[in-house]
Amino acid sequence: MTAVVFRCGPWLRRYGRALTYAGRDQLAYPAALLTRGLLLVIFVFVFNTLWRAIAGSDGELRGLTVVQLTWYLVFTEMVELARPTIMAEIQEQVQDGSISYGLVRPYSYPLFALARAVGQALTKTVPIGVAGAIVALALVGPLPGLAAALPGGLPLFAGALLLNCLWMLIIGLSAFWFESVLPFQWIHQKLVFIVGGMFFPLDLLPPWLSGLAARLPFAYQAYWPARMLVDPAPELFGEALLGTAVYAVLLGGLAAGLFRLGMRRVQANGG
Amino acid sequence: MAADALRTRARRPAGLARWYRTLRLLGRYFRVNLAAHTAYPVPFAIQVVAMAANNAMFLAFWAILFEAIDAPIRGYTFTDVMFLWAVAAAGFGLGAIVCGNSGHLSRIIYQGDLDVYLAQPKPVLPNLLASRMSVPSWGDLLYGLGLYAVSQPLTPAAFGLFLLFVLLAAAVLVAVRVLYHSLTFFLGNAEDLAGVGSEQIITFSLYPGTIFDGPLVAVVLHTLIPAALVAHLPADLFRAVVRGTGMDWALLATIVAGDAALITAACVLFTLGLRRYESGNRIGARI
Repeated sequence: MTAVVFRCGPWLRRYGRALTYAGRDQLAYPAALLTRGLLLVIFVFVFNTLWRAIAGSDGELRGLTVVQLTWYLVFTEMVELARPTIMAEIQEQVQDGSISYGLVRPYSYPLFALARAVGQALTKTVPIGVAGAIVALALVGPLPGLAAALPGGLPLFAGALLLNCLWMLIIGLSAFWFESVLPFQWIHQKLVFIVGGMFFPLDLLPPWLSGLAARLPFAYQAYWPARMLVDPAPELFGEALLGTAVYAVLLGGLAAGLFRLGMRRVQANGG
Repeated sequence: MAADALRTRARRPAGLARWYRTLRLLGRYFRVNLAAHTAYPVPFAIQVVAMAANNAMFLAFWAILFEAIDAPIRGYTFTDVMFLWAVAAAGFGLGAIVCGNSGHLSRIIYQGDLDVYLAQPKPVLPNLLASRMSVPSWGDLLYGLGLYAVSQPLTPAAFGLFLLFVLLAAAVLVAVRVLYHSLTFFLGNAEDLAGVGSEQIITFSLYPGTIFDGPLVAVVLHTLIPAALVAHLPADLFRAVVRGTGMDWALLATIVAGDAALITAACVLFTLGLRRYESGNRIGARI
């Protein structure tokens, strides 16, 4: 065990530093962080207004209270708004050829990009979360049972951030084939919105769709972590964690495969 | 003689001639930009289709929500919400197609790229706004028109009213972007603020106006974030016409007056800001 840790030491240090520096870079742009926090405040306000307008006389929608629905949106939006910029960075590097500088360095390019993405996402999450918590507290008050839900919800939340980063990496790497990868990001984002359960829990979907949607990768980016935080179900935790891990491995494999294929399209002419 | 000729050329055309020349400039930019982008048809088509598909996903959101609650939302039916989407998407799309630079003004100002527009013998603001076309916005425009066609009545009166609202929405959305981005002249960089402000107009426009209650919210939605002018009031008017209640001319006049006030405010702020603009002596060329 010690030998494994010892051998992984330089590896961890290398990508750990990439993660740390990318996270620190984000702090250099406080206005951008504040803007994202402001966006979350407005989204939460709009949806809270909508939920209040459509909730029944008991203040519930399909068994969920307006308090739960509002906090649910805070958690899902935290993952969405913490989206890293790695996709645009990779696209730019592929288009202007500067990716070649990254390829000759002593690290794995996709792992380095992933570490940077995770660093960016982690840093962005904190101020966004604070803004979200403040507005949710102001609008609906505290979420009952949050402290007890954290041990189950936090690992799933971290998994959701990782899945989001992996998607951005995959979409960024598709720049080897497409001039603009932004449309793919729009489609991915909207799939998370609807079948991932970003705006409302998947339980609101028709039964035939909710069962299917809950097993798609998009749900592990929004529905599962948020659901476990607002309405914990310990019996579903194992399933949710397993699904997150399986999709992380699959998406990681897809990113590695895309990178390998993309490398065949790179032409270096020296200079 | 030569000096007279120069003076004549330099004199600003007045009244209708000025409008005609500005519209002709916008038309020429439109043709050139479209030709440039469609020279690469596949990337053009991918961006347009992806944006339309992106918007269409929200249709699912509203369909699911209305099915779940099985009742109107504060007087808005699914069809009414689709009208909000149609007018906002088509208006946003049209504005960004014709005036594609409206979302990039801050960057142009703080990077000193205005110099090249100031040196040209054309009115600065229209010249600046129309010199870029947003390709994905074609997806918004086509989605808005398509959504109208499948969800709203296709009578000439209703469609004419819809087109009028799309034009007004396009104008006011561009004006608000100009207004927010012009703050860069005074604040140094208002790019993030302008981005959030512009995005929120669309966000609020896409939800039933009746859910936003309270006097403060009402004032904000008619001024700083004029979603009421873009979509909520047009939806009220459109509903009345379609249901046979008749045309509310006073409401139409209110919408037009509100839009005109915002457009005027945007032009005035941009002009005032232009006086504070300092050239970066950046060498650039537009071919």
